[in-house]
Amino acid sequence: MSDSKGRKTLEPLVLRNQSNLLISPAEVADEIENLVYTREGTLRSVEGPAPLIFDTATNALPSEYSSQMFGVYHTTLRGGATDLLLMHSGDNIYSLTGWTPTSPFKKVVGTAGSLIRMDLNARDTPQFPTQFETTPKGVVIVPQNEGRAVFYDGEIATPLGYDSMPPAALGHGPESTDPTKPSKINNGGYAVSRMNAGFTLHEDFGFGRLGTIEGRVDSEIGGRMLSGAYQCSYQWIDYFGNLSPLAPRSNEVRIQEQGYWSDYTLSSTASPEIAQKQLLWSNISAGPKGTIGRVFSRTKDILNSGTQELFIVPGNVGWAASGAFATMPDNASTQWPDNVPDGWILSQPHDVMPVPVFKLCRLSLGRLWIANTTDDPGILIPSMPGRFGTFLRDSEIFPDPSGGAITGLWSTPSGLMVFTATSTFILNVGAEGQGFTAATLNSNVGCVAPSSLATLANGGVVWLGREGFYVFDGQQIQLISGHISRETDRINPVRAKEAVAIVDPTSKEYRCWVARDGSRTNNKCFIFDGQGWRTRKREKLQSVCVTKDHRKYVIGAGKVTKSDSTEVSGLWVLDRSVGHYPLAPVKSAIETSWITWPLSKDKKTVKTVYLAFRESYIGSVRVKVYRDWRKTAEAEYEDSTTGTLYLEEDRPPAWDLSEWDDFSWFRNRPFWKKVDVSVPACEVYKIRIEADHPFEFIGMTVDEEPKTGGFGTRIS
Amino acid sequence: MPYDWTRFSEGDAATAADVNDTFANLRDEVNDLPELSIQPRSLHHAHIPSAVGISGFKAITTASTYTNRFIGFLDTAYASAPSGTGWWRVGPMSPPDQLRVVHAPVDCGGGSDPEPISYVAMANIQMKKISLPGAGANVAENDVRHHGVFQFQLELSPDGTTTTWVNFPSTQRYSSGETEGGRSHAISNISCQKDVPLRSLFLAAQIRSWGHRYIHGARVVCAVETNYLGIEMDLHRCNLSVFSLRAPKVN
Amino acid sequence: MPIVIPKKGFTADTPIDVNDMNENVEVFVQEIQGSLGEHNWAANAFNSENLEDGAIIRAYEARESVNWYTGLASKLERDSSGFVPGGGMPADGHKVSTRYEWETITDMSIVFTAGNSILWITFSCQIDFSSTENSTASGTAVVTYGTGKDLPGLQVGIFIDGELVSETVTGAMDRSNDTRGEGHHFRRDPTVIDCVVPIAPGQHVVSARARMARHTDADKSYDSDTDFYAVFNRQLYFLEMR
Repeated sequence: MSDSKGRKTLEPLVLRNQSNLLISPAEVADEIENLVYTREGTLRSVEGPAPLIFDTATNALPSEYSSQMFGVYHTTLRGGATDLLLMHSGDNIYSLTGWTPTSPFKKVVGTAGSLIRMDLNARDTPQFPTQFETTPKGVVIVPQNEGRAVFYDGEIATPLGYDSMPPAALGHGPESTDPTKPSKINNGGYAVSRMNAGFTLHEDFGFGRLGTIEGRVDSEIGGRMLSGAYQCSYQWIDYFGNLSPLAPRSNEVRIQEQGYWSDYTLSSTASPEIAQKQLLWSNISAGPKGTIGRVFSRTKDILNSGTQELFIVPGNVGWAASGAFATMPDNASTQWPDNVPDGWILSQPHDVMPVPVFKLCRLSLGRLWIANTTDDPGILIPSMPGRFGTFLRDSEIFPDPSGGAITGLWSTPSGLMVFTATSTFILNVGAEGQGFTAATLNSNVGCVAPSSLATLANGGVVWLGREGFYVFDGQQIQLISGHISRETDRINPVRAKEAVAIVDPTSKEYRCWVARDGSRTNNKCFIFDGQGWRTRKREKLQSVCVTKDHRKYVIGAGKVTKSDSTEVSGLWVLDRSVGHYPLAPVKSAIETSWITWPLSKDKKTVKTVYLAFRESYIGSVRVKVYRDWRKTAEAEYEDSTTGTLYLEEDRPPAWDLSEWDDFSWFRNRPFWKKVDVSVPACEVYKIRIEADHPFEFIGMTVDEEPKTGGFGTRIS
Repeated sequence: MPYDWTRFSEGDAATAADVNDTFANLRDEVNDLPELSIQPRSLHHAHIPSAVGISGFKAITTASTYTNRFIGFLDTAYASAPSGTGWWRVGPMSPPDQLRVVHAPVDCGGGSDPEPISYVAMANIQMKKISLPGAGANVAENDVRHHGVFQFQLELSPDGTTTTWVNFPSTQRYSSGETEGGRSHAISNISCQKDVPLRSLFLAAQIRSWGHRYIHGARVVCAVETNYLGIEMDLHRCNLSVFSLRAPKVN
Repeated sequence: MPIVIPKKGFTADTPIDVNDMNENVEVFVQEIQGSLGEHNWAANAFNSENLEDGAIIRAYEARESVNWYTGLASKLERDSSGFVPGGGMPADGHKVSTRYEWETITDMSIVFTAGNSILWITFSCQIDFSSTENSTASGTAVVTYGTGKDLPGLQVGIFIDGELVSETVTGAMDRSNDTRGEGHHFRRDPTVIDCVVPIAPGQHVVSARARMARHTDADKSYDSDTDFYAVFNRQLYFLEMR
């Protein structure tokens, strides 16, 4: 029997993070899988996940779940009165309707029956996950099918803004049947004035107001109205306040020069206004679904006003408040009789561009920023403030001078971070509040996955770049995954763009799901807790979100493995459990590094491993010990019974084993468990703890017995 | 009653009774939720019933001519044709049609209190012309009393089956044949093209005060108010909409 | 809010921890203590019996019934023997003053206390008039009496808390050009105006008011005994949609 006085007990190893370095301290593990950092400071096996919705009697999941999940998103609108959970599954984007439990999703975008019919072109080729962004008025949904983005407020869904301009209107004015005769000037066509020709305005309806009057110059000749010309345009306005591009200008409506004597006899007393005209604009087209009005614009007299600019025509004579959102507050009428004088039209319309097809968007600096359009992957365009689907012409920016495709957008207190695959920029309001300026943060580090961006609890921004994971702390960008580069190098580069991440609100961990080892779907989760890394393999998520309400659930869209080893697709609430849904048991593991290279020159015998657990299961873990840099198929030592997950001499009450009224309420207690392993004369050794049932790990320590005598390690 | 939940305390006996009580209290709370359990404005239109009971619409596009004479504000006499004296229905004789909506009976309540029912009727009538056809100049120049008079009638019953048309004089509206020249007399034979709007909100209590309980429908009746024989009124397009609401009058 | 799920599944052979138990119960207690939302109710969960009367829509109404036809002597008109002074106003008719100022039409004002709601307000009335002004038919010697041709228009409008809802005013507002447009110039005609407006919680007054427009001649005035507009049968009603 060995003498315990010769033993050395290592400092307790409180393993919380892992590293792939060949040489790493004993306090850093080689692998920590499927264990979550708890608020008590321990590592506990992953709980759940729980299906968000299922039939509790049959365990059936909703039929809307498809094996292809492209997006999940939660937000609240109207101060919490509207709770919106959106899911892109297969050929449809759905909204949760919890009030219909037998059919809990309604189609928002997709196949027949959707609010917006669109072929979402569900396919397995690499693409960004479906993007979502909350604005004060609703959610922007950006499917990656090269189709239009959609805006949805829980009730109404419309395409985001307008991607086309209205057709030109047609102008009508007076025409002259014989321009050489005073009585035949401006007497045909749409001839509405107080002159005695054509359609004469009754005196009760006043005068026309269009046309420029020349002052009275001669009592014999009288005065005249000058030749004039007008054009119009208009734009649609939708339910969410978005404006369409301006329609092409109408034909030019010409008014012939005309004297304003009444009855065609010379008169120095005739009022000049009798010659002025009204015009008619027709073919003012109704807009597509979602349009609630037309903003009508007209030039002033092109020939006499000195400007050809368009000006908005107000809708109400009295400029009353409630009807004033558009000149024509409807989407039905097609004509506008115009008697609005030039002096009343003051504001110029916005010159709006058609909304392009884009891939990414982000709300920042009071606007919606869209990026990576079909025609210009390097483009970044801000919306108007408050009109999140309206983009002004010539407002676009190309942050990357080389025009690299934009691969990520993230809003921070410092500004809008803009990423290409190889560079990072920050955008902010320009000097004196005019425009925007982009500054380069790093010209070598970029982002490859827009949905991998997340903000840590300490404010740092984390994302997946080409070489691994990076953090921006407000000052500089640093690579944080250097220690696990062997792991991150296995990420499938083609599928890296599909990586999705969140920061778990409870554990504060950054969790990013990626595709590795040639997988076409995300099959591994990297976890960063601010200090180091762990991994998780419980769920294969193609999209993930955190609910924006008090629940702060992490909801993932993807696959989990059931107890019959089949994979099932759906929406899952992470770290929650409904015990009877038949999931495959969670396999958790902790594996130390090779303990320890700095002391490996001298051999030692591993005598005893002390495991610090917290009561978690009436069962035991499997303990394996390997030696001397060889992780063989059969461990040097393996034990499945000694490492119990409870203290045998203080067995806790357990579900299904104890009876009520027979015990008191306890908190699960921590305890040490001794496992005699006896691995003799090794340079280094590695301990692995694994189980198919839950365990809660606090730490471990090891009793070593140094090898005395002159037999050191083999050194060549 | 808000459930004042007490946590299970470490060290206390873990009894089935305590656990059962906790879940029983939760269950009872869920089954009798107080107002404060619910977030404000969390009820969606999918949850609550529509306030609209019945609705109906009728439009007529055929022109029709009337000479039936108006007798008086409270008069209930009904003519047998759009001639003679009394009210007549709005609508053409041939093919026969009338501006009338029929619907399932709306129950205004048979007990001591009326049901919280409001019944809205909206009608628009085009009075195209009111004139003396073929009259020479200056006939009845100084007599300006030529009006088309219109009124809502509701079809009511006390028992759901025996129906009666009931006049509502407060809904009477009349319009004269004014022309753009300011003339009020009818001889000008100029189409006046008046749009006559009628709107009214009827209440269950009002229906019950007439001794009835059910509303079966509504229509518009008309007459020509004049002291000059032969004055004709031409009506053209008209429409009638009705709907009932579960909306009590609260003022 | 909507769906909540226990933190821990109590699977067989796991120790019973008091914190786990408390946290699981707490999830549900927190939800029912103020977090239940739209996803917690089944569609059509409530029927009319579950709703307090007036929970969704309330009606308000004021009406005046006026016997406008009480014989020749009482009608607002002239006959061949001349105007009958002092008569002509039926009981409960409202004479609109000639002061060109907005005035509340008698009994057409409703005070109420609203929730956060939308009002659909309708005012329906019969307009009539009295006038001494004559007109002469063109080319003849015949005089037509009391046509009121020169009466300026009548405006009616809906007011909320003393403020006019501009879009409800009859007639155009373009006084500079629409010489007869300021006001409803048909003199014996029914009129309906309505509007849909949001309203904040609190006490409010909805009223229907009338005003005779000003004549284009600034110094023109009218004898209110003989030349005026009147409002007869009328009803102000609105639906408060909560």
